[in-house]
Amino acid sequence: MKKQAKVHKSELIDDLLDSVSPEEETKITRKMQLAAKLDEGLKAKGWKKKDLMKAMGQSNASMVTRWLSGTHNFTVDTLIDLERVLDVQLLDIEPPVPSVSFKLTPEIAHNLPPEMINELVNVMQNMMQTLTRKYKIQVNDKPEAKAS
Amino acid sequence: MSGEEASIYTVLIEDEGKTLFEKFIEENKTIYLSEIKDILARLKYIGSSRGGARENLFKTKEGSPGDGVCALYDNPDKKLRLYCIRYASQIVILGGGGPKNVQALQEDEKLKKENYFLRWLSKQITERIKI
Repeated sequence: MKKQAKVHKSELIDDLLDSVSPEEETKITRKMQLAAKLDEGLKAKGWKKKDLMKAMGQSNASMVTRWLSGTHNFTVDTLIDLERVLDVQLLDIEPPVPSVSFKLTPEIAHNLPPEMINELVNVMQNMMQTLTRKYKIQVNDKPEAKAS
Repeated sequence: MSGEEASIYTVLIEDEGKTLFEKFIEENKTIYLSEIKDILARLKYIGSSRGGARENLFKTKEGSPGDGVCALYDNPDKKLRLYCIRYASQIVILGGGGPKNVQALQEDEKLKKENYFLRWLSKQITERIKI
């Protein structure tokens, strides 16, 4: 008699899976995703593990296997080197946005050259336009009429 | 654990209440609990829509040539080996395994038994597919 595969519910497996914290699961998932990205990078280059081993200055192919296994705990240095040799992005780091902080008091503004004030106004206007577009908000730039 | 990318199976021996994979968990969860949880989370990812049973995630050539018997990569410090059969990136059949403290699996009776069962199973599946 032919038998068919059945969906198997296991309390043991469900309980253990439930005991994996979201933090642990994220770490495991990200390691697996990194491995997939590296594997895709290798394929895109038409490389074998040995090619990556040489490009990374490694003498042991088993280290490359470990990188691709989805279990490896990478150092940032290794990830940066892998990004370079495979032309893939593994670390999604945006360059830091320079922050400027100043307090513009009437006394300071009074002493600023007029061209600098104009430039400051332009920068503020551009910034407001970008933000209103990004967050789809409307800014009423006309001052509300005061109730008499 | 099966999902959009891969179906994950295991084997239930007739008259035995537990599957090979459940037995593997029962046998090792006391000493290797964190590794068991890691294996389960990795299998969940493999089955999920983001994953798939990519070849690089498995230690291949753990059986006879071409039979698909492989092992899920283990933590290098713990070496808890789980044998399975992988058919492309869509199907994984989980077997059993155990701690690997020997060079060749043939040196460990338990690992040998688990591994050779999957070799036999793979052969049976291949023969049935041919028919």
